[in-house]
Amino acid sequence: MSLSVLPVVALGSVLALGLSASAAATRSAQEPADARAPGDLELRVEAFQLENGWRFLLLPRPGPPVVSFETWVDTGSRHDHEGARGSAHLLMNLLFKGTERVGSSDWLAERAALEELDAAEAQLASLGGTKDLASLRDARERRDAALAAAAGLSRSQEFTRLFEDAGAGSTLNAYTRADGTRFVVSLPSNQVELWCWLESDRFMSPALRDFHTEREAVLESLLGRASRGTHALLEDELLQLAYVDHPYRYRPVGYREDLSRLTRGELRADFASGYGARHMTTAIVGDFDVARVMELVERYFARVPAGPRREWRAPEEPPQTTERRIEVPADAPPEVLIGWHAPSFSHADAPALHLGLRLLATSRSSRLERRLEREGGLASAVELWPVVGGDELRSLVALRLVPLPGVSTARLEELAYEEIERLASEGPTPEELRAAQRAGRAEHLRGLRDDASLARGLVEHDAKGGDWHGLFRVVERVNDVSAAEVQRVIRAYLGDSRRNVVTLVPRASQAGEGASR
Amino acid sequence: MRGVAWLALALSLGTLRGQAQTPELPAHPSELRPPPLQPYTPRPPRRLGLGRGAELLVLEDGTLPLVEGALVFRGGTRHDPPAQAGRTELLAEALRAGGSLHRPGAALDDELDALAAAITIRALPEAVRVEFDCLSEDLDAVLEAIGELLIRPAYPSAEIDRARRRSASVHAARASSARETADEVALRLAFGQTAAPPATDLGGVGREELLALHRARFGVDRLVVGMVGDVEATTLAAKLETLLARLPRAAAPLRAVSRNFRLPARTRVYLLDRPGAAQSEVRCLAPGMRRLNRDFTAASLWSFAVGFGGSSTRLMASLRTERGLVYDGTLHFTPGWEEAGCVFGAFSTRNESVGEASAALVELLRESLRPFSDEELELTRLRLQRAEVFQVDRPRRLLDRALDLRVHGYPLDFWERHAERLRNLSPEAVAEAVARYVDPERLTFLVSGPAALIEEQLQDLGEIVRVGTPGSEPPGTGAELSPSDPAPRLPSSSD
Repeated sequence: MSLSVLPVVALGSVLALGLSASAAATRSAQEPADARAPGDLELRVEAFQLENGWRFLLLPRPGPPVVSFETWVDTGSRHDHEGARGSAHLLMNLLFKGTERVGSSDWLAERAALEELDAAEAQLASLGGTKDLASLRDARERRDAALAAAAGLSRSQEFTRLFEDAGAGSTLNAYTRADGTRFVVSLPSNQVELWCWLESDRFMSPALRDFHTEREAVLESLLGRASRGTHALLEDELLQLAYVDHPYRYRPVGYREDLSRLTRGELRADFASGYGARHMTTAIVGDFDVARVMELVERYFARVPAGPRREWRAPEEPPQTTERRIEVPADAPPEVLIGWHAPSFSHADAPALHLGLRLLATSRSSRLERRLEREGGLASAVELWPVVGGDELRSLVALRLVPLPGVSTARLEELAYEEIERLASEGPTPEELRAAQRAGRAEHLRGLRDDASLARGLVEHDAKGGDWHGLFRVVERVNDVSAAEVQRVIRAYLGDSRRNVVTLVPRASQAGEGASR
Repeated sequence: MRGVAWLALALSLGTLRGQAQTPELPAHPSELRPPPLQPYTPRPPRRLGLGRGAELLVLEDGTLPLVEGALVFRGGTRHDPPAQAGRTELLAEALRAGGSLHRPGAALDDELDALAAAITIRALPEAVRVEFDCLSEDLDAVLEAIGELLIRPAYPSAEIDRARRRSASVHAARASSARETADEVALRLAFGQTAAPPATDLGGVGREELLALHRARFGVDRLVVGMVGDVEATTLAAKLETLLARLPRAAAPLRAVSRNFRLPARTRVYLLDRPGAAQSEVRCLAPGMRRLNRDFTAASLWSFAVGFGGSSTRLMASLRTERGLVYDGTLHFTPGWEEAGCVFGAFSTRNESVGEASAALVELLRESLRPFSDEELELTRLRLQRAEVFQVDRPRRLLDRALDLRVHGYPLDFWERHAERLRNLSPEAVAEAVARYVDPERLTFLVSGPAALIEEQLQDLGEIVRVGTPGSEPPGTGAELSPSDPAPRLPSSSD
């Protein structure tokens, strides 16, 4: 059997009742109200796995004729090889450049040109450090000729154009994370087959064309990180500080020196090892007919090879026993980013820590915002966010504190640690706990408002947490947390010895530049 | 029942297997024949009068026990006099942080957090929005809190001072971002202002001034309320009417500070030196329009084809796919509701390719003034029409669309008329409309980067004017244009 259903869900009843999105000729936003209600959603999820290992989660929501798709590939920047940091991200970008059947004026000729290009690149690499200038020149000429030939045959925008012509607008996107890569798009609901065609072909026979220009574009984005403020700079430094051996210490977009020497051949190898169907999970949420979509999914995606099992183990990360600290000079006002190792996505402590962090810094009356901003008048920003997160290793959560003029980052740190210690020793008040639990419920409901975030939630819980049902257990899990548990996890995870502190120290020149404007 | 489900499941799987073996898959997506999209008629929000000029737009949607919405007051940051730029932002910040006389900011924060609700006040160029989001069971409490904020605001001096300091800190952080700085400086220069904002006297703005501004801005006659979620419209209107009964009319008329695009006699390149920057920022501007303008539809289609419609636009094809010079970029009209926006192009590129990328942008603009082929026009039109469903697929989006129209006095069938015009656009009509605004010989560029590395590359682009260092910027940059400079042939502002 080519289709195996994992949990027993409502598929039978849907088919037996003959419910179909095409049943109504014209619908309005008013009907059927219960189809979008939270209690009903879990029952409507169809979860199944193709024989090749590709998992699908379908959630029909009759309503506006739109469908959101999210595919999670269990291959992220943590799988980049040493010296090839950024390859997963570059590969992700090339997967928008078309396939053997889409994006070429003549694929056979283009393939020959691309193979010649690969060979020329290999030749050039083998001449590294040579003093034979004539050979070097010949190899470069060979590479440039192949490059021109391939570029002349490439129609790489056809792939994204097909999505955008179908109405995807600006929803077509992808994101490389440490643990995996997300491919997302939303389309009018009559374009489901187009998505099946393009998405399956993308992961079956990508051409990986335009490698050189795309690498240049990615290198531009690396340069641009410095132009977008201090956020990226500090986060990069925090990862380097908080992880010693684990590849979480490398930023997903990679590094210039690694990207500059990457070859298309290496990316082909990465694709072959990391993009088999066994690494894929897709959620489809919106206004569609389940039976029809299951049929399409089977027809298009069962063809995709399972791919090899991954033989990959992350290096053991030594436990952190003391605080780590670094200062980073920059042309910007001072701020501090503090990172702690936290439990993984599905760890039993995750709900209690999530709740504890909410009490500390995610609302206007949270303890740190109250102490540092509202009452203290010392900070202009108190923010908390996850830096990395997965199931393989502990996540990292970060607290960003920005002082108002005349206040030092050291003072903000000191007060923040006092509040953390107070929460650990005294625990939350019953009112605080109730408010945080209520906030958890409201947040969950807000996440159900639109199809794209629901698709993301399903995939995230399935791929990272091992069970999509987890999305619908969030409120229960948070409501089960006690004050004592909050105390325990705050003490366990936010202690001094688990801290990693990156302080931005303004360069003297910053004042000059700021003044000039 | 479980047995029935299993049987149906088994039958269905059998069917799926059978179908999987039969038909050949289309060799190319162009062979697909998608079924017509189900006709979908979004339910428009209900409009109810609230008395004294205020009105309510409401979309009842009981699928989730949530309500969100906004009280939108006409008049925003563009109504601040230049010497008091930022005062509407200060008003919004200090009102939210300071709370009301009955419920000070800290108490308000505690109450809202206990309800898992949020109230946010945002100062926009053309309006101030008091937004909220809550569980539907808490709607009354949240509305009551908003009513108190509007009717009996506190504006304690300590919060005003804190808001001022926070604002200064945020601006300082923004100044460290080359991108945000380039955006801001480019817009200022293109609209005839100096690169750096003039000194303001906001430091002297205290409680009394803010209370006066509050009375001038938050008038019931300037209010449109929008709400979506688990509510009943008539009951809600009655509640709001009672709540707002004590909110007076605005105490002063709105006076917008007009901002006119200054068209240079020939392309001008403002150069902002950032020694040591690893990458340069390029901004390119031309005059624009407001949405009510008859050219808006043509400008929208042009923008979608040239630089705003995702990753397959002409801009991305030229600068990223063909040349690898940028990672992302944009080039499009940015129309305002009440004030003419501009054409805004933006990208970052390495210092050594600033000249090449900028020249490519000018060439692209030149090309874009030739009528599109019938095929490109039709495809762009289809993309816009097909993506239209994402403007109305969520109740909140529907509501916001209607709110914008009501707040800015646009006809309620504005988007239907826009869609009708879109259907009838010809390539020539698009080219003619855009040519009224875009003159490739008279663009305004702002390039920030290490001048020593990039200045020479910019020589052929236009007249270079250094900005950002004392004494380098000509006084009254915009005003230096002689009155005889031909102004853009702007059409009438309304059809």
